[in-house]
Amino acid sequence: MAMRNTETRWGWPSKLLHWLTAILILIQIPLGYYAEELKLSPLKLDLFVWHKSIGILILLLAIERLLWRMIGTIPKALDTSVLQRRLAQLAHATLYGLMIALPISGWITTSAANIPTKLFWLIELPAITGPDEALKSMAAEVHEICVTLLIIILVVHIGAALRHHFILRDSILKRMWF
Amino acid sequence: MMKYLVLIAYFFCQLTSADQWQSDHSLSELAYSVNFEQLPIKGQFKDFAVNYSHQQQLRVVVDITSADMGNSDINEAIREFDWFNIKQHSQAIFLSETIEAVSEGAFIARGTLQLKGITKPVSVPFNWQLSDSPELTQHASMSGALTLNRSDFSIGSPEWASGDQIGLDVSVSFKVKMSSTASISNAPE
Repeated sequence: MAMRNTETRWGWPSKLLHWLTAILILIQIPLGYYAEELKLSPLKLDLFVWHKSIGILILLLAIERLLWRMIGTIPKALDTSVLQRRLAQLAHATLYGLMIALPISGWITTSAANIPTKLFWLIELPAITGPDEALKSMAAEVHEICVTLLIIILVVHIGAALRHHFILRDSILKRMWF
Repeated sequence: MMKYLVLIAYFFCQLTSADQWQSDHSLSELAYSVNFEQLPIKGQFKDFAVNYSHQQQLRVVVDITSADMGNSDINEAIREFDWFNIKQHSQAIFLSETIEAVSEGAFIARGTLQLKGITKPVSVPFNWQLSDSPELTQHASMSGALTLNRSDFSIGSPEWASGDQIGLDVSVSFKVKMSSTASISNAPE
């Protein structure tokens, strides 16, 4: 399997990072909602350690993917309308934006809430702000708006991939598959 | 009659020679630290009073309702039944029975701590430093630290009993400004 991306297909690092991120996001969203709803308990605290750990992992993977895109190339868009290409670009850009904004807003929330974090109970995550109740509420709200937006874009992203694969029967999903 | 006079004189002497030391609330600090998912978080009791006199020994009264951990959710949680249960136990009291000098300026107060309705023997090591002041009011700084096990006082039970999420050991530290209005002042003996 090729490492580098070409004009027609993705190399294995891009595929691996894509699917790893996909799995993590699909765990992360329900995990976040579930932990938030729980009443205060040891389980709730543990689930939030997982949520924060996975979130920072997603952030690192997103940065890694952006760097990989920058130093290499990405496959060309298929022959679709200009509008479709623009929408796809917008969706992908938004996904990247959210993969950065969500972990960062979560990180600000936990820092401003004065809660320390040891990622996977192994690595201490430094606080990026001091204790600040107002900032905590604001960051938590941004976090929630971002996750709502993420769910919408994900539905579009997955829906579009499935449409390309099953209805248009083109290579878009295949070239991201192994 | 003579006997009564002697007794009265005796009590009078005791009273005047007894220094009454009191903490200065605005210059004093009572802090604690406990592990939260393996990393320490800090808290403090904003209201507490320390009194020291030769008769009463050392007496510390802590207003548990003044606990602050710098997070509104945690502040709410620690007031609940499982933690401090402040509805029923709003005060903690330490009373020393003996105070022993360990070295120059260093002492150990042995006594009992009543916390969340449970009384346990506790030793509080502390340093006592008299400030030089020519005034009538004497000042001293008192500081120290000790570790308490929260399960001894049934704090964080039963759900939190393992200590995995919230540690069992609680580090307590204090820095207290004491003042005495008596003309003669001594360090605790």
